[in-house]
Amino acid sequence: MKLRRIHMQRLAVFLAAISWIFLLGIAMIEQYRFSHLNIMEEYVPISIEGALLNSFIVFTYIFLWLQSRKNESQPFHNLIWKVFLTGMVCTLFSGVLSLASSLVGISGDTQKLVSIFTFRVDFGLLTIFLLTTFNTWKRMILYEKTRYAVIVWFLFEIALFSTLTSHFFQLTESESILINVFRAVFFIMIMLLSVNLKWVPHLVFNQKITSVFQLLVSLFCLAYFFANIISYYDDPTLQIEDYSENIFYSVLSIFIIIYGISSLLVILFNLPTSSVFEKKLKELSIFQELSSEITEGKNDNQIYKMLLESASSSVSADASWLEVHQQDVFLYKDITKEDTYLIKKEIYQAGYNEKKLKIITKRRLLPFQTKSQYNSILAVPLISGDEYLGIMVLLKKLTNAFDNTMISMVNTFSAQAGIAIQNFKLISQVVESERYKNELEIAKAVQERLLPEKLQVNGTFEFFAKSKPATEVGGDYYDLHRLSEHEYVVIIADVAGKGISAAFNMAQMKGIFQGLVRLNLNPDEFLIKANAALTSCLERSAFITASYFHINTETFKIRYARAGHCPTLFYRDAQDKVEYLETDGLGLGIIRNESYKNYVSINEISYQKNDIMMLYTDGIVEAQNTETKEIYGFERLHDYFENNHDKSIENIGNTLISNLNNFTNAGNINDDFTILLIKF
Amino acid sequence: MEITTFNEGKYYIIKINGELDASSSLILDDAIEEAVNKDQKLLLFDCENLHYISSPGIGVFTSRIEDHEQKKIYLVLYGMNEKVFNVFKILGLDKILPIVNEKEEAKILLNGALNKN
Repeated sequence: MKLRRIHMQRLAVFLAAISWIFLLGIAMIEQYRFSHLNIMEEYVPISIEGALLNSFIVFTYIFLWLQSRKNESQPFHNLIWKVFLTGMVCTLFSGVLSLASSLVGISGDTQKLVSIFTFRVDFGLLTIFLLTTFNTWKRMILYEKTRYAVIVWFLFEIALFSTLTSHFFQLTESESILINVFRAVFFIMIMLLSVNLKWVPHLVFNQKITSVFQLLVSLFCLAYFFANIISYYDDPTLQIEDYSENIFYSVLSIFIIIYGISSLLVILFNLPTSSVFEKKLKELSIFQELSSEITEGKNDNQIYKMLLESASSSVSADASWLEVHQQDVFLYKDITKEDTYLIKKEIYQAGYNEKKLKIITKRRLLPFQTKSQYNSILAVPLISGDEYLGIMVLLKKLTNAFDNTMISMVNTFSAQAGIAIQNFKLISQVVESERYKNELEIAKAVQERLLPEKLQVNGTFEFFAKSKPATEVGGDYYDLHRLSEHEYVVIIADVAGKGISAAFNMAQMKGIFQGLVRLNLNPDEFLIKANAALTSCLERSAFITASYFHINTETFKIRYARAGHCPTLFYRDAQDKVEYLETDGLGLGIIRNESYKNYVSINEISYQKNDIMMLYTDGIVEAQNTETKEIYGFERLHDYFENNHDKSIENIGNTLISNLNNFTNAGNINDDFTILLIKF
Repeated sequence: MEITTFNEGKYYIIKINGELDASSSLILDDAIEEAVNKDQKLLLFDCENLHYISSPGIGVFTSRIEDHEQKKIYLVLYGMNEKVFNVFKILGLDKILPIVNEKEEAKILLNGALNKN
């Protein structure tokens, strides 16, 4: 079963208490034998008594060690407070006990036994106090430890506890000399350890004062115990162990006293510089706060507020304000708005130039001096990126009140705030652009739905279509509509331009097509009506090109009209030749009146099985090589088609696109493009 | 793209150098606007050094057709290379915008248009 700490602690206390009670018992019996029977010899062998004492020491120490592990991150002044408290409680307890024993007023042998009891209690309390302090000093010494300090401490602790073995023996004279050598070694180690006082600067001024007091009191408590215990030895009628020569206790006490005194002195010497250290700490925490504001992406107002607070408290300004015109921010502290106008005017007159921090200290520069009580003014421009945001002004009544440290601090604060504000701006921009991106993604999905997903052609001809916008959305459009069992309409259209505006017009074109196609118009009539419809909804510089085909699969005839769209390629299987279907036709939206009808014509061709029709948009023929600036062109497209007509139409289309991607040298076609293939 | 404009007698010549794409079409549009504001009626577009034209470039010419008709402004494009002319032709613009080979031809054409009215 795994023992929990609390159980272990209880066990340690129990064992320590048992050991102590046995020690007390033995001492009582020995005293009794001494005073009544006059027997000087030990009642029990020295080794047993030593073992009991060691068990008391070790278990007490284990208890304290477990206790200290419970709260490892205690601040140092709390640790000292604990030592102080332990010392006080122990001393008080001992004092009350001795007072009580003297008040009871018994005498004779019983009094001797009482003395033995109080001695044992005092000695136990002293042990507890010493070990508590030892444990505390240990933590202080090992704060921000160096490897060297850890090694010395380790040796010291091992050596100290190994001296416990001396309790098992009665030491001879020569061994005592050896022990003095040990003492010297211990002393050196203690001196080495006593310089580890890195915790001292972390106490603030008030904590230092109370720590000094508490350390002094603790040392006095220790002195009281020593004096008290020595007083027992003065009584020759008492049969008690002489611990004054005990190496464990003497080394422990010397260590505690020396480290205590060295802490005391170092704290005292640190008192005058304490405020500097505290100020630095405060600055550091302000920096930290400002930095966290940055990472948290707090908004401008919070940053301004924070800046004014930090800056004015770090220079202990008597009054201050901060204004940012663009955002209508005006924060002021201990000053009226009216006064700020006056002072601001003065600052500008004194040569503040929105680029550099300005210190104004000469009182005679200020014409409002009769009213103003401020003799030092610090004007700090707030700059984010390259943009001048506003001004922060710190005012002090003292003359020449801003020293270099303050100025550089305030400068750093304002720079930090500038970064924070810029960060905030950037984050907002990212959020905004992310939003646009999402909107575009939606637009893309919507537009993709505008193009027919499945083309139902009932096996009378094969159909292949591929369309890709240059950006998320584009202006290319195609559609297929079945009018009757044998009649189909195919349209391909291309809105001038790219992107969102083209996409909107493409959607309009779809609306017009869907609206007009059911009327079963002739191709030229369709274009005339579409042109009229677009007149009112297309911006003046925009136009749309389109080709409209009416396919009759019963008569094998195609009637078509072209509105400025790229000429259709037609492969005739019988002649094994590809040709462009040349016909006149003006783009939609160019002429926005009745006369448009003069510019379109209707054509009719017959087709046979295995003929292939290729429709495309100008993205295909205008694909340009990024280096040579050469464009793909009509001729290449014609030749490609003629050489590849025997492939499946999927293959013809997909290979054409990958050829084009290679041709551009950039890996992609920098325009909307669409390719439609119909194989009869 | 670069645009130079100058008068040759009653003719206002707009010379287009380079590629006419979406961004440069705005410059051309400004140049035409300026000519209209200067009350120029006979505009000649020198396309000898026009290497490429995109849809927005075409839009500059098409967007003003009706406006010019109303204001009795006449324009002729001349000196186009085959590639650029092909773009106009595919769109059917060769039927509505006068496009000729030489500057002199263009002037004659404009004169004729002027006299007709």
